[in-house]
Amino acid sequence: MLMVFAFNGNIYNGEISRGISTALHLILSGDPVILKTTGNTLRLGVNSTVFASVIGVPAGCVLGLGRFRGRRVLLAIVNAMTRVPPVVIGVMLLVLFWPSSVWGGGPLSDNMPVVSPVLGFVSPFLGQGLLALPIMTALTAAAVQRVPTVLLEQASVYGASMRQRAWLALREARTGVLAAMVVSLGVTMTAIGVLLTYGGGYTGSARSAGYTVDGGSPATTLALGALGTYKVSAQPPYGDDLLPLSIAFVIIMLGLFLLTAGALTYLQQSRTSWIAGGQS
Amino acid sequence: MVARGKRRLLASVDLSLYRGEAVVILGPNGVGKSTLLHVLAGLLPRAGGKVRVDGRLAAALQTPALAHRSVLANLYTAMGWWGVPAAQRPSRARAALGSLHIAHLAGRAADTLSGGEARRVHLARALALRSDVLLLDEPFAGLDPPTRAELLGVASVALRDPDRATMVVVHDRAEAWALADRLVVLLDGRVAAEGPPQDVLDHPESIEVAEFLGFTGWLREEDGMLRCVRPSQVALDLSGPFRGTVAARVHEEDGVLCEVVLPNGQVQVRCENPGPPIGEHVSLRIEPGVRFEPRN
Repeated sequence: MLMVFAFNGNIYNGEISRGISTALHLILSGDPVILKTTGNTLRLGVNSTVFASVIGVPAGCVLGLGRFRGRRVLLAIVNAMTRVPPVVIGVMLLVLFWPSSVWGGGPLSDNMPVVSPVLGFVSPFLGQGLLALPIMTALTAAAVQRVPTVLLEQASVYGASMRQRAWLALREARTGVLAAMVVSLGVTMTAIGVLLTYGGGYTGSARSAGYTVDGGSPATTLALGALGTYKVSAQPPYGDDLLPLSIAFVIIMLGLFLLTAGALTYLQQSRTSWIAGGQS
Repeated sequence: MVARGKRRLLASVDLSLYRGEAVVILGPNGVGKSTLLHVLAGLLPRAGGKVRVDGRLAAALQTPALAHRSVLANLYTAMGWWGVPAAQRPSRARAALGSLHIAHLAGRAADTLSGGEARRVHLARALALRSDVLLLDEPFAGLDPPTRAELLGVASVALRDPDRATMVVVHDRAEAWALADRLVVLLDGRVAAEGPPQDVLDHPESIEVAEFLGFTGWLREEDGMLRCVRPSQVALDLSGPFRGTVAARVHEEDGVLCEVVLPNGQVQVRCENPGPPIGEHVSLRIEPGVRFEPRN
């Protein structure tokens, strides 16, 4: 969740009821802040998952199907990386990207004209993408490893190239790969919320996807700032009454997760109807 | 030669396959038949020796591994890997499915096929490639007897192609008789007998080959030679010259298989139901069979 607010003082039951009612009104009326933040959250989650998939799926195929020295070690490393906390990714990116610091700027700061265009393109979802990358890689590798060896051997005997066998394995393991995407999407979207909650709650200041990072713990604040994701500097027009807006986002996010998971589960369950019968 | 570590799996295998003939490799489980096929297909490395193929070789492995797609898509995909032009795939697929009497399965998802249907699709996919050499590993394994018999009948016709050399690996003698133009018996990782099926059966080259081909009875003759006979070469006959005692009985579908102990050996004989009881003295007529030097 990209927009999380910190609250001062006690919240009473009556306020929560009122908050829920106002939240529903905000959702139904298409409040622009809610729309914008929801869109940002979705865009960031999807972009990060696509980024992680573009690299992680082929890498998972290589690790899952390849026969080379060091493959098991690499698999172990990738599996271990699935447990890296989001804040570590943030700090790592900060050190790499921060344009001016006591160290004289990170190695991938704006002073690097060659890498800047690429980084400018991926920076909005680089952090979450890196978080999802080992998950996509590890789960894809595990999925393709479950494809029967004899099917791939049969393909090989019929003249299938390495790439064609990998594609066959991916098709057969599509349920597992889709599951990996669901997990990645979930991780990227929830990790955004965790980072911001932690940062905002730490100092008691408000922040959102649409508004600047203006406080929080040094690590997360700097990490998010370094990502260059959200740089609009303004305060939301909701004053101190942030409860309805927060509840509205919680409801929307729950709905989004349910929709995403439901759609992908449907695809997984109905694979024969949407793939069988196609041609190579 | 094929080895795993220091253990030799296959040695002394010198085989030629010719266009238009169906060669059956027959041998007991674990003798190296599938290993030989895997080596020929390039799935296992050779520790020595040569494999030379005039044309292209395809192999249908023992497990009918089909992708989770339709039957037709499985055939098209394999033809795509093989390099068959897209325009030729539909006609080839139709012909292959038709030759195995499964044209009606074309649109079915592979994971809804029965074991027998999957075996047929597996075979049809191999036939659709129209390779110069086709290797089949136990194409009837795991099927119930009626399904197996039906598929055997269909395959014995479909597998014969004047433009292709076909090699089929089986462990069941009935399958070998149905399919083979030439029979190769593989024992202990080497070719133990080779030739037209009837010749190999009538004149097995060694006691081991004879035993594997069903010569379950033996008689020690006066000159010290061992005479081996199959149950079909023995019959109960009141005026027969051999006397023995029934030592064991095994009920079969159409009768009883009796084991009869004679003074100079023992034989098996098939009798009509109910057959003689254990302990009964019987007279037998025994055909010449084949003679070997006795083993040490």
